Amino acid sequence: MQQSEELDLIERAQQGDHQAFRRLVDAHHRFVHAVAFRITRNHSDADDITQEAFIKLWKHLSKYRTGIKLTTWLYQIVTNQCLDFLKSANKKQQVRNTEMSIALPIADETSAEKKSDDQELLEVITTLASRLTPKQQAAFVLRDLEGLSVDEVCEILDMSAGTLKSNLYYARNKIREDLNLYYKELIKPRVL
Amino acid sequence: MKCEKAVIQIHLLNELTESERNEVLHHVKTCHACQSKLESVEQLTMLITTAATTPHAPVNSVALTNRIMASIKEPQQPTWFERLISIAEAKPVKWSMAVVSLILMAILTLEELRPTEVSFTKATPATTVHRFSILNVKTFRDELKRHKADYQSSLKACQDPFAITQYNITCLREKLSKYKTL
Repeated sequence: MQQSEELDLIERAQQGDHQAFRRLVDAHHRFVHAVAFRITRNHSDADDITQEAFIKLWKHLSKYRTGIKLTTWLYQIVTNQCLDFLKSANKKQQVRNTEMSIALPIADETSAEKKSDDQELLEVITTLASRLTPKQQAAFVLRDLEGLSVDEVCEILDMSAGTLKSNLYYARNKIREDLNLYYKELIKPRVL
Repeated sequence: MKCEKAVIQIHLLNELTESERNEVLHHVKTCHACQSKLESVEQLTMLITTAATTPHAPVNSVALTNRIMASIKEPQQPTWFERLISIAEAKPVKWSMAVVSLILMAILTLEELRPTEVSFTKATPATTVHRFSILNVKTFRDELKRHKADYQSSLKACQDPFAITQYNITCLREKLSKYKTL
């Protein structure tokens, strides 16, 4: 979507034009859902977070200033929603439970056949990322999986470049170590 | 470069400056352990890049869009307070307010440091006064010695009936006008 077209849609949506807002939702909901899914690893939770993020955007659209990219603002909203999600005690429990089932997607050969190798790899990586602290996980997802620039991630997570680098180092190192262990387990001959 | 620092920076190659990256790569060429670490990190980077390019979409994109649109209401217009806050949050306004505050502080400080001038207001003329207040004390005593009786009777005539040390000023002026001390 062109920048001018997007600004026009934002202006119309600010006046209460639902159709203009629908076009903004159409254009951006995929990446919002992707971030939510890569952090929560659950389609239903990702749907809820995406919905909440766009409701928040709609409510606060009058405060939108042209100096900020809409995508950066949306990344900020969805990341904060995800961090809140991870902080909630119940969800933490759910995450802990799923940590134990890290090898499950691969163990189930029928489902593995259905998925492409890349999807499977993404699933493994996001599962390993869920073992990180919420900030490390968010930094990893935004920088490495979403491919945002250092400046953008710093703005979204409201952290300095130094803090971001520190979070990224710990995240990548942990995922690399866990991935090595995971593949070692995978190539072990199975005793039937 | 020490291996501890190199290992950290190997994980952050994409975030380093050109010179920092060259420094790390120079170290890696001379250190077998760090070279093996770099290979391991490069493998991870490759896997992450592959995973990151996997397209993602919600299970039912249209349904999700409809769900979002069904849940939104009319946009809330900002209240006057929110508008005020958003205006105050604008950088030019913030700077202007800071400058005005500094000027006000400077004015108040200067005002505080300036020596104060005590001003006296002219008192309204009293109707009764102490007799010494209109007489020169030294010459009064001399006059008193010379015209004691006359002087005392004059004073008595002007005495305030309710306060024995107070005298009517007009009366005093009139009675004592003959004395040179007045």
